[in-house]
Amino acid sequence: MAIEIIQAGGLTTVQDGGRWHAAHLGFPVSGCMDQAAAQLANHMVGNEPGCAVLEMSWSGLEFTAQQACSMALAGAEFICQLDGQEVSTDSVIQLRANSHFKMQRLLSGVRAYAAFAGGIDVPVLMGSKSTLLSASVGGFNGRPLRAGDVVELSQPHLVTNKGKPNWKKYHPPSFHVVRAMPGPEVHLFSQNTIKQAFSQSYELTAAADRQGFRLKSKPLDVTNIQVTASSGLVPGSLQVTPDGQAILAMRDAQTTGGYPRILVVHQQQLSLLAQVRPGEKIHFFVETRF
Amino acid sequence: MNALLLKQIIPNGDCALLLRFKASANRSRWIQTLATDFIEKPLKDLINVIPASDNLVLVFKQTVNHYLDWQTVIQQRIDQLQLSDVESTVHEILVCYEAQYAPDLNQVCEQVGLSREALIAAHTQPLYDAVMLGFLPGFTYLKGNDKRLCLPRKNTPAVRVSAGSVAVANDQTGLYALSSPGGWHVIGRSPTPLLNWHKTPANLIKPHDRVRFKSIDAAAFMRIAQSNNSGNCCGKSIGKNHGD
Repeated sequence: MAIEIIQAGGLTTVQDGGRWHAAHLGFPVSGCMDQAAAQLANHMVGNEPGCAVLEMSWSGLEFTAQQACSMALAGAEFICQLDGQEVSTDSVIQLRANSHFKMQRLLSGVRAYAAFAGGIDVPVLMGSKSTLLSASVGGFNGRPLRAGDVVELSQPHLVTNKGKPNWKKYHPPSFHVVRAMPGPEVHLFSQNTIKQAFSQSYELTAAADRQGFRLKSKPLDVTNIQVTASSGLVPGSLQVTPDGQAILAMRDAQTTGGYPRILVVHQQQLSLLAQVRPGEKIHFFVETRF
Repeated sequence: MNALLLKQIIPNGDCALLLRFKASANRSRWIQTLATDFIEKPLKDLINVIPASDNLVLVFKQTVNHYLDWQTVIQQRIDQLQLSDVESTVHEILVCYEAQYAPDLNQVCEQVGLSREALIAAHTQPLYDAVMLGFLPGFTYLKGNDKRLCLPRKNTPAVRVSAGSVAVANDQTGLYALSSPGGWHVIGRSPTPLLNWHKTPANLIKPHDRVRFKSIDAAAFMRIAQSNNSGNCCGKSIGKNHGD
């Protein structure tokens, strides 16, 4: 059983809970940018939370199913069609053999997740099915899906309908706030710069992908900051570059980095960042007592 | 007697700890040994261990338990470590320092006040120590730069550095196995692939191997790169093929 891709959208990759135990070999953790949404989609079709799903950015999929299978969508909201009829993504979508499914228009957010009951059948590379685009490995032949691809599903089946509660749907906030804590190099900055960094807003620029988000803000003062030796970098680290701007590491970020980190976002909150659009503003609520 | 001296344990986000070590003989070798110990005998919920030249990061699945006496837990590990006799291989890495492969060479020459020839001579002279792997798969950090080649990272990292690039920053040379963004100054490119996905581990260079660079011209670079492409290395297909 497989699905045949008619249109793959802007960037559709296979992702899962992440690639663990390989950072010392230089492998980023990878996995779904919005883990919460992927877990919700998996939950709706009865999969394990870290099961492989399709991650779609900005534009959605169009495909035909070869056989019956339940599917759930979560994350960014799309208007979708099943066999030419509009279909709600608030509940499980029951695909039949030869069903034609199309995600038509993005309503909110950036990244959507499609989970199939049973999961996606791609090889496991170092413990994960996630695609690592920078290395062209993992997932579906190490690359984004494109028209004509045939994606195999593992043990596809139908599940009884499980709804998506309204509070779990993605509702775009009027401004984005994520919780964070002071970073390991925070002591290198002056008190004024720390105050500025923890209170100002940062605009997400167009240079925002799975590796990292370049942010734009009033520059942070980095004069007299001694370069630190590279050390292990976790997603959510706000790295200040010598021009005073900041780069937020995301799930495909390099495993080590040398720019000073003034704050690090709480890992559970990374999901919220996955839905921020370029031009929107991010605030960091830094919990200084932990 | 154990030579790894714990300096500080600090949080690196809510789910990770950064262990910093004081300067000591063979520090980075000891850190690699400690990392291996954590990989082989993991703590509860430990999902990644990231060793570097003077520090080690432990990444957990959950929020770090700050009520635990980490100082004692980690010190006990250190006290039990044995420095293994790691076999170190010496690799000769071919590098083309010509302009089309070295976008930052002229600017580096200007900054450090060396001619192109003098810079190549200075860079091909030392026997480098591969102190760590990381950043991205295959990226290799080499210690041993000629003192004259020490300069800070770029103010704004380049959006794309080509695979095979050889770059300098601070007292290290970095090898980019894959194309990626990067903040180091690219002074050349190697046609030798650093990753082979058909092998386990895929990495050509292991931590604490030694590396020496040899300068080659653009014609040699092309010849080697072409023979690699048509031949055996660095294929992308892993496991079964899905109709690609």
